[in-house]
Amino acid sequence: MGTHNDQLIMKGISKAFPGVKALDDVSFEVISGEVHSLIGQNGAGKSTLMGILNGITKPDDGNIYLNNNLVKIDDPKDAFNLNLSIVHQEFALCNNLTVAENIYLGDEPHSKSGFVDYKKMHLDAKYLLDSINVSLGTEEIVGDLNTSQWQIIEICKALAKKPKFIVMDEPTASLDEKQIDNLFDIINTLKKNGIGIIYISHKLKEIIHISDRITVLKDGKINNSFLKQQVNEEDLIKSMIGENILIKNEQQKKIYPKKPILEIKNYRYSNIFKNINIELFEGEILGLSGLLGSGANELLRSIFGIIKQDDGQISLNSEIISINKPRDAVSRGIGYIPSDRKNEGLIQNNSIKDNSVLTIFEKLTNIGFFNFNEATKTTNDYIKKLDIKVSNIDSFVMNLSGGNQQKVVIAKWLAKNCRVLLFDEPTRGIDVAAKAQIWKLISKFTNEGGSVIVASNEIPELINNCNRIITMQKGLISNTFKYEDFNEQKISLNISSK
Amino acid sequence: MNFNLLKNTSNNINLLILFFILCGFAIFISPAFLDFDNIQNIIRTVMVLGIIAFGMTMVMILGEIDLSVGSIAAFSCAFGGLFVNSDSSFLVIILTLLAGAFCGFLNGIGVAIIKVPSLIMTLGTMAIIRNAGYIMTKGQAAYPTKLETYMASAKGYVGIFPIPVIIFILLSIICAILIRYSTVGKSFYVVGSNPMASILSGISNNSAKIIAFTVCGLCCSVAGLIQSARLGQIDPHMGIGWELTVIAIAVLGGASLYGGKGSIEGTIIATLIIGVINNLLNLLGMSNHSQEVVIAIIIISMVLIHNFRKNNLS
Repeated sequence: MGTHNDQLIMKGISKAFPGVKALDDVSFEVISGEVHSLIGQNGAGKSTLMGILNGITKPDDGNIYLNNNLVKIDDPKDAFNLNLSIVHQEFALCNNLTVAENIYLGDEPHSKSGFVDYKKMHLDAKYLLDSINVSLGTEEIVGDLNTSQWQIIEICKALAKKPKFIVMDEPTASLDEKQIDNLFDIINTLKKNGIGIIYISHKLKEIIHISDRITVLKDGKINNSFLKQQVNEEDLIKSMIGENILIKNEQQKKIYPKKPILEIKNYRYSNIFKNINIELFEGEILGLSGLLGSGANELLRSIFGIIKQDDGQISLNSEIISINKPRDAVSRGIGYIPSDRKNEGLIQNNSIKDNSVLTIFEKLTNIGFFNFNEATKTTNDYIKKLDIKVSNIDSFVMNLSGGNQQKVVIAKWLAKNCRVLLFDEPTRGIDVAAKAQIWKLISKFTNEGGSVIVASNEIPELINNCNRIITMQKGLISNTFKYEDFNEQKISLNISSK
Repeated sequence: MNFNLLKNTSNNINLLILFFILCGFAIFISPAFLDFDNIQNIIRTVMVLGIIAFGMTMVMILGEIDLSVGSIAAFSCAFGGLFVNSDSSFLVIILTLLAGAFCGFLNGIGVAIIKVPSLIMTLGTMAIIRNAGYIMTKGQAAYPTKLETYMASAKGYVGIFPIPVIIFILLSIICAILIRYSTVGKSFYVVGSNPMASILSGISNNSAKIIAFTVCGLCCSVAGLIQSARLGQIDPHMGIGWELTVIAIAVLGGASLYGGKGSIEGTIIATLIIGVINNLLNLLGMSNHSQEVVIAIIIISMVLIHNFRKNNLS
């Protein structure tokens, strides 16, 4: 491990994607034995910058230097050769294998006879775990361990490659407070061992606690750089968001407590979310915002019956209903637009027409036969209404752009005449113009009396379009903001503090 | 749908070309191939398996598989055969069909509700149903030769058309309509292509699966009935190893082992192709064993071709 002062510098990095300048002359450095954090909103350019460091993305401009020597990182292998490891946000572990086997996966020590040298593997793994002061049996089966231990194993996997620098992407997303303390102990040990750490997180308290330096990215530019002692949460949020005044959607209006359409009482699912009470009013767009692990997305999925809540009741139009599976929700006129529209929303190798009428197969049936003419008519109707750009309704949906695909998903619920739509990250991965169109569709739907819950972390988008915003943290509702009280900084604080 | 049709059509045209090439080759090898008796023999032999392949095609469009087809054919016929002394063809035929549909229904329940993977579920029922048939009949065959209508299902003619061929054509039309124009049939493709998206759209994957397996069971009993009448005996040992050929026909006809693909038209042409291949191997003087080898190779190479196409796409 690097004991002397190594220095990794990214200088003047620029990268443009069609229509967006993702990074604009960004410089970033990390030296041995420090934690340098990188923060910024979604789309600020963090992932692009780390992609460049890992050799996944090629910069348009700029250089990377290791100890003042120019280095080229063209693919992840180059990054590996420069002793740079990345701990990804998602776990990539084999649940049926032991801790040691996972740590040395694909890089097993071999004996002279060519067989895997398990003795050495376990000794090495033990040494590695000891070096970060973790007591964990190397013979334990990974599937029996908890998420915090998985996180430790992921870090050990990175350490096994003997890195000088480690990038940690949202390492605390699935950890509780005590586990986070453990992780921070490990990070401090790594620092002492002379490893430089780039730390990416949305959780500002943690960032301030663990970092030596903090750099804020905003709209692809370095907005600010802080030393640990100089900074508090408000400064960071201000720097991330800026003080620009948001232009609000003109059609957006206050919803005075009319009739609640959907009422959720005391919803609980395992320890993912609990004590959830939500009322959704007629004609309302309700924002639901929380980081990964806050339970927001799971809550949406349980309202739709994909996961069954352990406790709590749900009523629609003041009538208590039971939703055990998505079919129950659909029959009650509740629709769900999943964030993973590729795998959950659409049937890629079926036609646009088939996808648009997916929810109303039963309605389009005459004594067992499928009414193709009616299906074509309905589809053409919604293509016009939603302005979906297609050449032929019989072509496969996989050929459409992200925005148009999302509209097809919406079309199938409008065709079903749903009264309540649940959107999970509706604008993820679609371009700015399409985003605006999707929001326009949502507000049109509510103007016609429909009600909508949108789970999203795009806070500016929520502020521009919602009537109320509920923030979630660690499975609990942390706050509810009325339209009059919308304030991006306060909302961000209610999502990311702790 | 037009796009789907087009794709199916191009696949079917390829199959037709293959069919004619094989026929040409067979004529070249042995002019006896064109004998009326020989052609009739091909059709009679393969039709039985073709009928089951219709059911298999539906099951495979759903992304499932049914290994118990031979057992269902044997059991359902044996069950009907218990009443062979009633002298009522109608009763025996109805009981046979009901038994077949019921076995298929059980497969459907196991796969859809209990959620046993179809490979395992039908592997299990293959043994259970087969041996239930042995126990029920004490391994003895029954003889339906006195039942006129029953026997006619294999040996009769309407005009110059043999009745089994008429049954084959009728069933193919019914199945094609079911798959292409009925709502249930449409949901087969949807569920097979993306089960998650279909659940999230409020479609009942379970009922689609139960219906497909039940229809498949029904097809098995029809096929078993024709076979029993053809041989003049209802043998509980009938249909051992049928699943291999039936799956080969369905896969050759364009059904994907990964679900979401397949058509009755393709299955019809594939039935004829398998018939010609079997006959060709007979004409070449090859044993039954080598025929099975060839059929197994067909299944594997079709999957190979499928994977190759998929990789080319992405």
